[in-house]
Parts: sequence; C-alpha cells; structure tokens
Amino acid sequence: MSFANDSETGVGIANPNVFLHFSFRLVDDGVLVFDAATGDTSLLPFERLLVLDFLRKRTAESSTKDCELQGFISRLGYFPDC
Amino acid sequence: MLTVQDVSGRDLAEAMRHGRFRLDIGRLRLKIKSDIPRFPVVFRTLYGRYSCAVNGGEYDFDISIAPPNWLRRHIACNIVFELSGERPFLPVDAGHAHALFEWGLNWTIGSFAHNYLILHSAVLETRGAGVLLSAVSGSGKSTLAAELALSGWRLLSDELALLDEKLELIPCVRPVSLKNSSIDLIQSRHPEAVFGPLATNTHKGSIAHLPAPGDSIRRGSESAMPYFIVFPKWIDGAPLRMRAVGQGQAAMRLIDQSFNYSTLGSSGFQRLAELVGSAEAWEIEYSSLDEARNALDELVEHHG
Repeated sequence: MSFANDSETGVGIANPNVFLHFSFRLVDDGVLVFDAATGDTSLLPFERLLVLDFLRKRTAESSTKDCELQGFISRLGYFPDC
Repeated sequence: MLTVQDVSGRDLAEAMRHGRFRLDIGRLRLKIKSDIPRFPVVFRTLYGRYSCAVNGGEYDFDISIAPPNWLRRHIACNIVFELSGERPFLPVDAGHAHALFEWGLNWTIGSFAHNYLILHSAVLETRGAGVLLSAVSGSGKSTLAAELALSGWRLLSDELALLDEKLELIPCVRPVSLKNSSIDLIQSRHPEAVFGPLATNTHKGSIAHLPAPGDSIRRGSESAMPYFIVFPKWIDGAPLRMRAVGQGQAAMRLIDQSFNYSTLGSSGFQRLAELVGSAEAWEIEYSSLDEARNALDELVEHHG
C-alpha cells in the first residue's frame, strides 16, 4: 500500500506527513495503524471518527483544518460510511 | 554429509578448541569455539544429528564459550558467551555452558537476523500446516512444543519464529529448553526421550534440553506456511478452553513477542499484518497436555 501525496485529488497537501508516515491495514476486529515516525502500531475500532480523532492527535491537526485527514480516510475506502 | 555424531569426541574437541568447528542449523552456519572440556561431550548429545564441518570454512556467526580469564577459569569456574569477541552477558557457572550457548544463540539470532521478522514463539508443523505457539515465558510454550514434537509434529523451533518476506516460516531446529517441573513431566510421558544434563540454579531455575527429533532435523531446511497462531496458557487445574482471537488483537500480542518488529519498521508491519490476515489465531487455556494436544490436532484437521 502506498499513501503518498496525491496532488490530483488534493489529498495530503496541507500535511504530507500523514500520508507518508502512516500505514493502515483493515483486520477483522479493527484497523491496524502503523506510525513510521514513532514505530508505534495501534489497533483502532472499526469506526471512522475514532480513526480521524487518532490521526488528529498524532499529527496535532486541529479539528477545523482536518479536511485533508477526512479526505485521506475516505480515500482508504475501508469505511462503510466513506 | 558429515554429522556431529560421525566425528570422534577427540576430533570434535580439537576442532572446537582451534576454532575449526562449523555447525549447520537450517540456513545458518555457526563457528563454535570452546576449550571447555565437557562442552563438546554434551554437545554431541544435543546436536549429534546435525550437519557440521571440522576443518573451518565460512560462517554466519562466530560464537565462543570460554572462561573470561585465568582467574575465572581455575578458581571461580565461570564461562562467558562471546559473539565475534563481544561479551553481551555476564559470566555464568561452567555447568551452565549449554544453557548459555542456547540463550546466547537466541540473542544472536534475535539481534542480527533482520532479514526475518522474528517472534518469540515455538513453531511446529503437521499435515502441511505451520503452527506458531506464541506466549510469554512461563506459559508452558516449550512444554507443549516438546509434547507435540514427541507426538509426531515436526519441530521448526522451540523459541524463535523466523518469518521471511514470502511469509514462510523458516526452520531453526534446535533442542527444546525445558524448565523445572516441565522436565519431569515430559520425561514421565516420554521415558524414551534422552535429555542433556540438568543445569541447576540458573536464573531461570533448573534447565534441561531435549534434542530435536531426527525427522525435524533432517527436514531442517523445509519452510512451512503459517496456518495457525496459538496463544497457549497453562493454568493448573483449568478445563480446556479455546477461543478465537481477532486479527488485530493477535497482531498486538505478536508485536509484544517480537525481537525486531520496531527495527524492521514498515516492512515489519506489512509482514505482521499479512501474517494475521492469513493465519487463524486462537487462545488455548489448559491444564492437561493430552487435551491440549488433541485440541490442536483437531484444530488443524478441521480448519487446516
């Protein structure tokens, strides 16, 4: 999987670190998220808002400027409500 | 193919003394040097069926078991483990030489074989299905591994699961390290089994090593695909209980039991995610080895 910047869709312009440093894998009991910057792996519930909140905290992104994060999660295509 | 048991005791001791001895363990070749008189004697018991060389040659790891200095050789009777001349551990009693060799080799592989994702896990195979037994120390992992190995399962490793980039389990067949009451338990269940000498009063208690079965050693270069990840837990008096473990939970548990997950970075994550995505994960609590063995046999038979 690759999550590099995608300028065509406008995803990742504001905070490219999100796209370069996180890897995701959908598993049967949640979402595994790997943070390459810290080496940490987290298991999150299968819920879009929780993943979004997790990424906000990890990237210190404010909730008013997280359209890129939301776009990023939508692009993953893992979540039924995306 | 020359095996350790083909070499006379004298020649083995000489080759070890002069650094000419090489031991093949699966895909690894070790240079083993030692001038401890008893070391090669017991070594033949534990590694008699392994391929070896006594005239030098290339190697992956340079290991020495020797006294750290004159004083410790003759007065304290201590020995030390060396890897390429470095001494990562404190000296131990000379009677613990084989336990020290096994601990040191575990540390060596876990610290340097980063072409593999390395998990603290026993690995066995039956009917073509690779099974990882992953657990913290004291959970009965090695006891269960010994029971399965002596019941016809192929042993790939008692301690280290080596997962390559193709998600294959690479054998690292070595003696099974049993501790304390597990030694008597396995001896009573399998009186035909021959053990190495008992090392008492180690930091892990009493240790004895069970040589790997001959068939497992002969097939020491055959990889296996992981079909099952099992988290065993021995609890005195507990009834048998098996429970499926989710993929994410399995991944998090395996990370805790990995030697080099953080070293491998994203490739470690991808490999681990593929592992939990392709192998079923189960937790098993048991007090009876018979029940545990039968349950795992059925698991492989019905799901494999």
